[in-house]
Amino acid sequence: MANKRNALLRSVDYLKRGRRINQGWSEENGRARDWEDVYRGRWQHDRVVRSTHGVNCTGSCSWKIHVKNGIVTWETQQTDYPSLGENVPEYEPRGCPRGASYSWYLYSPGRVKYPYVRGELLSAWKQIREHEENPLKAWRALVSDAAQRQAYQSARGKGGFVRAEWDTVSEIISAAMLDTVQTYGPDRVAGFSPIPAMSQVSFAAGSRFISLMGGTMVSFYDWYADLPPASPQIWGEQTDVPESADWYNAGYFIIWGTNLPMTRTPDAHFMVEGRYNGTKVVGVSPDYAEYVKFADLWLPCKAGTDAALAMAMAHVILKEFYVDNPTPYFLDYAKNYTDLPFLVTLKQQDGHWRADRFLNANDLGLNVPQADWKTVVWDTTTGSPEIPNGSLGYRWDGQHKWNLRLENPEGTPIQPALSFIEAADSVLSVSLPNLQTGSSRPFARSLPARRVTNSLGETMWVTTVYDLMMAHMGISRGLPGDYPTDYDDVTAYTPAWQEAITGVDRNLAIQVAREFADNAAKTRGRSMIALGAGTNHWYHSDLIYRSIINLVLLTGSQGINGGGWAHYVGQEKVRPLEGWNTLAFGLDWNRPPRQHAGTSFFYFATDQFRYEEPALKLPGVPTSGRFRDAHPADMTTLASRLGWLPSFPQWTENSLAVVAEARNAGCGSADEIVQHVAQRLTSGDLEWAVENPDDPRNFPRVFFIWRSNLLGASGKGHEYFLKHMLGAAGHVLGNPDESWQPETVKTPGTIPEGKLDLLVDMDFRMTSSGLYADIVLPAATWYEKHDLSSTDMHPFVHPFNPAVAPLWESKSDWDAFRTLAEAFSRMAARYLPVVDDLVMTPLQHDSPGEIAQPHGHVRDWRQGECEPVVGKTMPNLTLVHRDYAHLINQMTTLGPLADEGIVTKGIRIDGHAAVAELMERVGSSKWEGPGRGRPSLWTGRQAAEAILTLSGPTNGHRAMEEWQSLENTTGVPLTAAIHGREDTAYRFEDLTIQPRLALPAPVWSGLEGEGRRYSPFTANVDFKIPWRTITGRQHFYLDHEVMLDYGEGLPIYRPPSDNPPFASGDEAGDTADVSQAVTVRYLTPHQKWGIHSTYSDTPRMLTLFRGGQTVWMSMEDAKAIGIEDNDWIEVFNRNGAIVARAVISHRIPKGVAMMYHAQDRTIGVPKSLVTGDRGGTHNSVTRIIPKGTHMIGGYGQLSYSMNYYGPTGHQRDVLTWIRPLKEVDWLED
Amino acid sequence: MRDQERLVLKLVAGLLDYPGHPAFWMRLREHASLAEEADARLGAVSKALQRVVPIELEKLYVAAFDFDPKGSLYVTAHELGDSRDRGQALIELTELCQKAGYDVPDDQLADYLPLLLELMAVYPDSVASLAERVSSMAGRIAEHLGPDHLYRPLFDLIQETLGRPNAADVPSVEEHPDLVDLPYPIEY
Repeated sequence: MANKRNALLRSVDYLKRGRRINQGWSEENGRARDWEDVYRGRWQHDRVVRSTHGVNCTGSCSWKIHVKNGIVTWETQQTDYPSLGENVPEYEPRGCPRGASYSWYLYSPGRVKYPYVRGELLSAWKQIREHEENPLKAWRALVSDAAQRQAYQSARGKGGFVRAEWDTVSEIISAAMLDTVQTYGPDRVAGFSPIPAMSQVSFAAGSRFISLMGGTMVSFYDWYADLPPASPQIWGEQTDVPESADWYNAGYFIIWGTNLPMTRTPDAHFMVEGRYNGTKVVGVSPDYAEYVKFADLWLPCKAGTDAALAMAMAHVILKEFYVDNPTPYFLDYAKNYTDLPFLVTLKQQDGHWRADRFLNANDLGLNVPQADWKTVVWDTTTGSPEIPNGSLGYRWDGQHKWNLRLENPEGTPIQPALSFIEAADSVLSVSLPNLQTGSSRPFARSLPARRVTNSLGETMWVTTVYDLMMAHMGISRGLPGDYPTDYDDVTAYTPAWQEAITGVDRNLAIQVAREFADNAAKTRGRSMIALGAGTNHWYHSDLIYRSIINLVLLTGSQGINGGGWAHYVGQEKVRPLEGWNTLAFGLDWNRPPRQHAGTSFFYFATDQFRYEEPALKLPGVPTSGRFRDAHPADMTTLASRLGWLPSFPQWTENSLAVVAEARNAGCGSADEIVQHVAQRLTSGDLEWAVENPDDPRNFPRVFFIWRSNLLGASGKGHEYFLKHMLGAAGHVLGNPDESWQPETVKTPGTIPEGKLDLLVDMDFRMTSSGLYADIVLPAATWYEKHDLSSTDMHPFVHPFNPAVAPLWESKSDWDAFRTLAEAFSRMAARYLPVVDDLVMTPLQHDSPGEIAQPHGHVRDWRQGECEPVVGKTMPNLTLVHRDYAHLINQMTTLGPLADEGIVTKGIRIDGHAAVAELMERVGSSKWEGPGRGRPSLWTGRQAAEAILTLSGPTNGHRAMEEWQSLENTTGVPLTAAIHGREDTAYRFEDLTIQPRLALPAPVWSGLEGEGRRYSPFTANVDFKIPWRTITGRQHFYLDHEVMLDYGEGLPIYRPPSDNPPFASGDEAGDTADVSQAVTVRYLTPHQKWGIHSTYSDTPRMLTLFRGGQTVWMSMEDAKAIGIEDNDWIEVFNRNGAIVARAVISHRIPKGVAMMYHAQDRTIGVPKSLVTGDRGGTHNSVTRIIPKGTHMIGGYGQLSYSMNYYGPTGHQRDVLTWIRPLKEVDWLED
Repeated sequence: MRDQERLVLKLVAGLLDYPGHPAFWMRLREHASLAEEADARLGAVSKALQRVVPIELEKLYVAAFDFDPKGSLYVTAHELGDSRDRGQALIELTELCQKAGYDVPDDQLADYLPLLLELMAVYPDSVASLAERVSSMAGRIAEHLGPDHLYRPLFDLIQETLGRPNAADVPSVEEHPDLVDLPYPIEY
C-alpha cells in the first residue's frame, strides 16, 4: 500500500519530465543548479596572470597564477603553447609539483618581509653616525675597529637581526661600497648571482649596478661545476644543446648520468614517447636511478669511471666502423666537420717521438695573413699539404673565407686524407700517455707519418689526428707497439680493459657501442647521448665528457636533428643573449666589465688553496710535468699574468691609485698610462693581488648575493667559506700547516678569518646565505614582478608578470638595485663623484685575444721566455672613466655605446636601428644627466623590452642584421635561415598573450622554427659555418702545451681521486673516532623534492619524502656500521662534518653515499660530535681543486669568456667517513 | 564585549608592533598609564619593554616573530600552513575588515595578529567569528615562547580576554603536517 502511495506521489500527468538518458539513470531537466556554486566558489578567481618560476629551475614552464581579491590563491599549468606540428608530441602541459607549491612562499611565515640588518652592525653604525657626518668615514671607522668588526662577523649565522628601513640599509651599503672603492678599489666589491636565463632582468639589475661601478661579477656556471669544459674545448661554444622535443627524433638514446625524469620532469615525456617511436633507450648509472627504470638496457658503471666505458666504446666504433667496415657517412662527416684530417707535428725528445702541435701555414712558409693560425691537411688530389678555409686564421684575416668549404685559398677543392696508413713516408714509434693506475711509462705505439719541409728547409714529421687517435685508442691496424690484440686483451682501451674498471660487462659495452654506431650509420646521425651532473661534477669532467662526446662525433651525429650531445645540468640559454649581455654588464656605458671565474675567486677568498694535497705523479706522460705537477694556486698566478684567466681583486694597490700614480709620473693618454702600468707590473713594482691574497689589502670587502643561495647550495668547501671568508663558526678539520703550499703565492703564518666587511643577501626566503649575511633585503617573488625566462629545454621565451604587487617591503630586484644605485649616486655626488679606473681583463674568446699566443706554447714573460706585451703575452689593460654621481642615470637608460655596436660571440651589428626601435617602445628618459633623451630603463618591464628588442632570437630585424654580419665574415649566403620571419619582433605583451617560438639567430648554432626542432650545430653542418676553434672544426685533439703536459691531448680516462678522508698531516682529534665507520665516495646529485634548496623548505615538499637532511647509503655499508633505515649518522672528513638521517636502499651500490644537493641548514640539524657544533650542509665535506687545464687562455677556443671556460668547482672526488651518531642533541638549550 | 576588554586588545595590538620605529616608542610612553590602568600585567610589560636596550628588543622580536614560524603572527599560517585553503581564509578575513568599513593596507596581510586584535577592538561584531581562532593561536605562541619570555604575558592576556577555546586545543599544521589537505590522501 505504501509503495503504491509513493508511486502515485511520484507520477505526473499534466507536467512533463525531461528526456532520460544513460539507460534511464540520468534525466535532463531545468532544476536550479545553485548547489554547484559550492564548487564554483572553490575555484573562483578574479583574474589569471601568466608568470613562471625563476632560478634555479631551468624548466621555464608557463603558469597561470590565479588571483582572488588581491590574494594569489593557486597556480596551474598553462596549456596554450603553440603546436610543434605533426608527428611530434607537444610541449604542454609543462610544470611539476615543485612549481605548483611556489605560491606558498608569498605568504609563508619564513618570507623575508622587511630589510634586516645584523643588530651589532646597526648599533655600531648608528653610534658612529651620531658624531660622524661623512658616511664613508663612518664606515671606515666602523670596520677599522677590530673589536666591532669581529663582533658582527662572529655573529654571522647566529641570528640577531633587526628590521631597518630601505633608506638606512641603502645608506650603509653605499657607504661601504664607496669607502671600499676609495680605500682598496672598486674591484673589491663583488657580486654573485646565477643562471640569468631564469629571470634575466633580475640578474641584470645587480650585475649592471656592480659592473657600472667597477665591481667584479663572479661567474657561476664553472663554479657550479655544471659547466662542461669539454664543450669549449671541442666546439668553441658553451653548452649549446637540443631542446627536449628533439630527443623524440633520436633513434638511439643513451642517458648517461643525468636523471631526466627526476630533474627534467616536464620534459621527460619526450624520452618516454620516443620509445613508442622506436627509440632504444640505454641508461648508464652507478645506482638504480629513476631514468634507469625507463631504459631498455642498464650499464651500471661505477661512479666516476664513465670515461673508461666511453673509451672502450669508441675503441669498438673505430675498429668496426672505420677500420674493418669503413662507413662512408662517418668518413665523409669526419673529413668535413672534425679535426681528424688535420696534420699534427711529431717531435723527437730524449730519443722518443711524441705528438706536438697542429702544423700551420707559417711552418710551410706560406705567405698568407694569420699564417700561424691556419692549420693544414694533406690533399690527396695534389699529394701536398693545403690550408683549407675555416681555420681560426680565416676568422681574423678579413678575407671572407671563414667557412667550411674544403677549398684552398685559391678556391680549388681539396680532398683531405684521413690517414697516412696507405701512403706513409715512415712508421714511427710514438710515446702516448698512459694514465692507468700504477703505470710507470708511456705506451709506445707505431703510427704512419709523412715528411714535410718547413720554411727553414728543415724536415718536419707529421701525422693526422686520425692516425694519432687510432694509436692512442689502441687500434693497431697491423702496426707494431703496445697495442691490445683483441677486445678481450686487458690493455687500454678495450672492452675487457674497461670491464675491470667500470664493472660493466664487456659484451654489453660492445653491444651498445655497435648499436649506437649502427643506428647512426642507418639514420645519418640520429644517435644521441644525454649527459649531466653525474658525469660532469668531477675533477676530470672534461675528460669524461670528451670521451663520451667522441661517440657522437665519430658517428656523425652532432649537428643533426635527433643526434649529438644533450647536456642537462645548470644549463641555461639566455636566448635573447645580445640584449641581455648589453644590459647586464653595462656595455652600453662602459667597457670592459670586470668578470671573474668563480672557482678561482672562491679558491682564494675562502683560503681553500692553503689546504691542498699534492698532485698525483704521472710517470706515464711523456712530458716534463711542469704544469701538471704545479700547485693549482701557482697555475692560477701563471694564468693571471699571461692573460689567460681574469684575476680580481687586481693588484695590491688600488686601481684608482694606480691611474693617479701614472698621471703623476707624467702619463697623459690612456695608452701612456697602460704602458706605464705594464712596466710596473713586469718590474714587480706593482703586485698581482692573486699572489698575495691573504694580505688585508687584497680581501674582497663587499659581497652581494641575489637570486642565489651561495652558502646553502653551491658553496663547495662550505666550512672554509664560514671560517675564512666570513669569520663565522666554520669547522675545517684539515691541517693547513701540513698541506701542500704554492710557491708563487705569499702565505702569511696566520690564515685570515673574516675577510668580508659586508655581506648583502637579497631573497624572498631565509636561506643559509641569509643566515650568514649582514644585511638581508626583501625581494619580490616571481609572482610580483616583470621579468623574462628562457631555457634550452624548449624554444619559448616566457614572461614573469606581477599577479600581485610586492608584499610587505619587498621590491623586485630591478627596483631594489635601482634604489641602491640612487643612494649610491646621491652619496657619490658629494664624496666621490667621478673616478678613473684601470681594468685588467684576460685575452677574450671571440676577440683577437684568441689568436694572441700562437702554437699553444707557454711563454712566460717573467721567466724571460717572451716580451711582456699588453693584450698579447699579458692581460689587457683599459682605462675606464666612471661617473658615480650619475650612475643611477646610466643604470636606468640605455647608453650611447649601444648605438655604436652590439657584439655577441664575435658577431657585430650596428646598434642604431635597434636603439631607435627600442625608443619607440619604451620612450626616452627625462631625467637630468648623461642618459637624458636615451631609451628609458627605469622599470623592469622596460628593461625586459630592451632585452627583447636588442636580440636576434626575439627580434627578426636583429636576426637578419646578424646573419648579414656573419655572411660578411664567412663569405657564404646565410640569410635564408631567417627568411620569412625577419619582420617578427616580439614585445613583452606578445609573450604574455601566448608563448612564442624563438627565431633562428647566429648567436646560437641551431636552426629552428615551425617544423624544425632546435639542435645545436645544425647551422654549422647545413650552412658550412665554422666552429669557433683552431681548425674551425670539432676538435678531438687539443695541442696546447698544458694539455699535452697533463697527457690530455686526446680524450683519455683518468680515475677519480681516491685521497683518503683525512690526509696524513691532519689532526682529526679524539672526537673523530672511526672504529665504527665506513669510507664512502660521497656524491651530491640533484634532488626530487626541490630545485637545489628552493622548494625544499615548503611544507608540501618536506612531506613528500622524509623532510630535513638525509644521506642515501647501501645495504652493505649500513650493515657494516650497524645502522638501520632512518638512523642518525655523521658524515665527516678533513673538510668538515654533516649530520643527517640515513636512507638505506638497495638502489645504492656499496661504497657510495649520496646526499641530495642543497638540503638547506635552515631545516633542523642537530649537533655533530666531531665539531661540537651544529652539523653543516651537503658541502661541508667538499673542497674545490681547480684543474690547470681549465685555466689555459689566449689560444683559440681555449680563451676566457665568463661562464664559457674556467676551472670548475667540482665536488665528487671526495671520500668521507660515515659513522652512526650516538647521541642526537638539537642544541636547543 | 566590554570596553575594558576592547581596550586591552587595542593595547596589546600596539605592544605587538615592531619595536624599531619611533612611533612605537612614542605610543608606548603615551599609553603607559592607560596600560597600567587597564591591567597590571600590561603595565608591567610596557615598563619592561622600555627597560630593554632597543636594539636587543628588536633582535628578540625578530627572532621570536619574524624568523620562527612557530611564533609567526599570522593567524592562518598557524591554522592552515601550506594548505591551498589559506588563500580563501585570507580573502574572508579581508572581507570581514571591509564589512567593518576598513581596508587592509597593501603591505600587510589580513590575518596579521595585531590587525585582528584591533579589528575586534573597534568592531566588536567580529569577535564572534575571531575570538576562538585568535585565542587558540595566542595559546600556542604563549606555550612556544615559554614562561619567561618578555612577550609572554601579552599572549596570556589575549587568551584571558577572548576566553580559552572550549574545544580541545586543535593541533596546528606545523606540528601535524599530514593534517594539511593534500591533493591526495596520505595513508599509513
